[in-house]
Amino acid sequence: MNEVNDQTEKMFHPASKAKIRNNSHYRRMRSIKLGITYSILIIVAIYAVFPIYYVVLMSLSVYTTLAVVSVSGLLPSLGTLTSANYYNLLYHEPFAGWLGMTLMLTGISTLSGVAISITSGIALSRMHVPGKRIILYMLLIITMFPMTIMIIPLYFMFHQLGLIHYYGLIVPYSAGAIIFSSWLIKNYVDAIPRDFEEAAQMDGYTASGALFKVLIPMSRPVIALSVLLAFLGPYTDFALADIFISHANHYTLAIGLYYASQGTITINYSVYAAFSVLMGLPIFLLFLAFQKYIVSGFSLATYK
Amino acid sequence: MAKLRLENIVRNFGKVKGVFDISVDIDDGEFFVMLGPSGCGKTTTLRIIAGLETPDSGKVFLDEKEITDFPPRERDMAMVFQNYALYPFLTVAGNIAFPLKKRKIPPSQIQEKVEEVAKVLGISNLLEMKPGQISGGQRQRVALGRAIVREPSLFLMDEPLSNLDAKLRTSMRGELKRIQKNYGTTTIYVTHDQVEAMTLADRVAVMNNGIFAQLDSPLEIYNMPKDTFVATFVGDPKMNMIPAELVNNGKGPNLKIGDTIVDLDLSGLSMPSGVQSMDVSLGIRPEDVKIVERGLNGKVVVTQNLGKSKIEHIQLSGSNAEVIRMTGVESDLDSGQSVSIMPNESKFYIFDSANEKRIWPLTG
Repeated sequence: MNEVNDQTEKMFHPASKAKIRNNSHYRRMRSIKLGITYSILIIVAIYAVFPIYYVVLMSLSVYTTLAVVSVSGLLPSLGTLTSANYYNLLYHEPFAGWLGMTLMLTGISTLSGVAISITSGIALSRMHVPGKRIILYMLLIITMFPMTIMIIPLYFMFHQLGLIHYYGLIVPYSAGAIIFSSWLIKNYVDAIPRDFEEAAQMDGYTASGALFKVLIPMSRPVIALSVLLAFLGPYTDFALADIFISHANHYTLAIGLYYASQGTITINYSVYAAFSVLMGLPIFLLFLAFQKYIVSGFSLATYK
Repeated sequence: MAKLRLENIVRNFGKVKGVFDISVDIDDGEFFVMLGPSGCGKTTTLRIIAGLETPDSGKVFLDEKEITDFPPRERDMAMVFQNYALYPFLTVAGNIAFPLKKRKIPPSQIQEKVEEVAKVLGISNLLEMKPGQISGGQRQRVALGRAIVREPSLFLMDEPLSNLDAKLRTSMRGELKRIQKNYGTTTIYVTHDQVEAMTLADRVAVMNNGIFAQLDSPLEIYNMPKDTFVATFVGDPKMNMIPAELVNNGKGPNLKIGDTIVDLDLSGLSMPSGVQSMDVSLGIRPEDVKIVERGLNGKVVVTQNLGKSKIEHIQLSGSNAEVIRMTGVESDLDSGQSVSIMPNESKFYIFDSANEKRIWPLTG
């Protein structure tokens, strides 16, 4: 630290301005800068990883409440570790059933939502759509509203349509995906020159053939990102699922989490944590599978 | 192998004029170049031929068959795009094979053709790579390969060399010409680079504001430009244009620059009856500017030595015109020096300032 102070003093002290610095000075400065960069990155990494570590630790804990947390409790000790929480969830609770229900609902919503987003996104980018500007502004504005304020109007609307049940959820879930993903895909496709589709047309394809053979494969990164985003919302949704689903056979993971972690008086946090770990695994796997695309989806990679 | 005919093609974009009344016959096996500045309508014309754009009026014929409204896939033409438009998700081999996939050709035959084309273009070692992993010149070859592999009746090329660096452009130019001659395929080539037009073309159409300003062989365009646009667009450095006046001396017209009557042989040139003087431009190519004892007086402003040649900027006295002279490196003119210049022999042009048309030399 002293060295840093010395260096900064030298840098900012007017008298030292005239000083001729030698090469080793700059080499030293470079390693100091590198050290600072690494320190910041390590702190950020701990900040990001700690919650996951803590949840995993808690899920293996014999204690059920947060009251016993102490600094020494942040380190695993053999005496307090147990796999009972996982065992109970997997064998005594209908975790598999909840997972199945969730994956089916999320899968259908994601697939339909993303399929519609692809077509609407491409249409908004490539075709003449009357009122395009207004549609785009609307899409953007709608994404700014929190989901929770829509729960009550959605309930009334779907009640009138007789859609307050498990399958009724597909509509708001896929609609939610469409709002953001159409916008995302539109912007991505905007950055792809039309030359590629035109080249495919010259190469013997119809306009729609060019779309499927060239434009959609080229949009894979943004489609992967859309799938992930469309999956995450419904997969973790509790508020909407709770009012739509009344039948216990249709419970999704989020509702299951709520019921499974209810203790007699307090919330059973170790069960809650074990549940979270299990529930997080599919998302983790999805990320792994799409990782290659998602990075370029975020960066809106352009084609030259 | 095909002939192409355009008849009175018109295409406007809103109020902006794209192409205005273009007609041309392109012969079987011809290398036809459309040359012009950006926005002159050359790419629009090419896209109309490709079927990527529909003309407002006019007709397109391929081998005497009208194809104006045919979709691109039915036209049997291959196009090379300025940015190559290689599909980034396919390998080089996949890109070259792409147009064949649609034609129900057995995979073994496709592979054979891809390998054959790759060999011709010298890219056999790149077949398994993705377009993102290869250099600009290599991408250019792949794009060419994708066009060649189909053996189309027509090649369309939209500034295919403009994304390459100067050295590579020169070598690819030669290669393009060789490939075109090998396959004998009619080629329509769009460029803004006059060197490409001069070296590649059998015929050049110089385009300006949506029309063909001149349609001729490259040499004819260089030697007999029809108007000031063609004269200054083709040639590097561009042709000198000196504001001048034609005055009637009783027997015939004389050329006057400032107050000097220039002693040039204009026999045969006549002025419209009743006209005593008209504004014109005297055009001289830089390589035809000659230093003489008595002629147009001026002062050397700056000189540039290019190694194999030298460029001298000469400010004419009594006129705003600056004349560029291109000469051998042995010239010892220095800036500040007073000189007198004249066009070399009969190598000069006179353009009517009113309509920009050439009025001298008379023929052509």
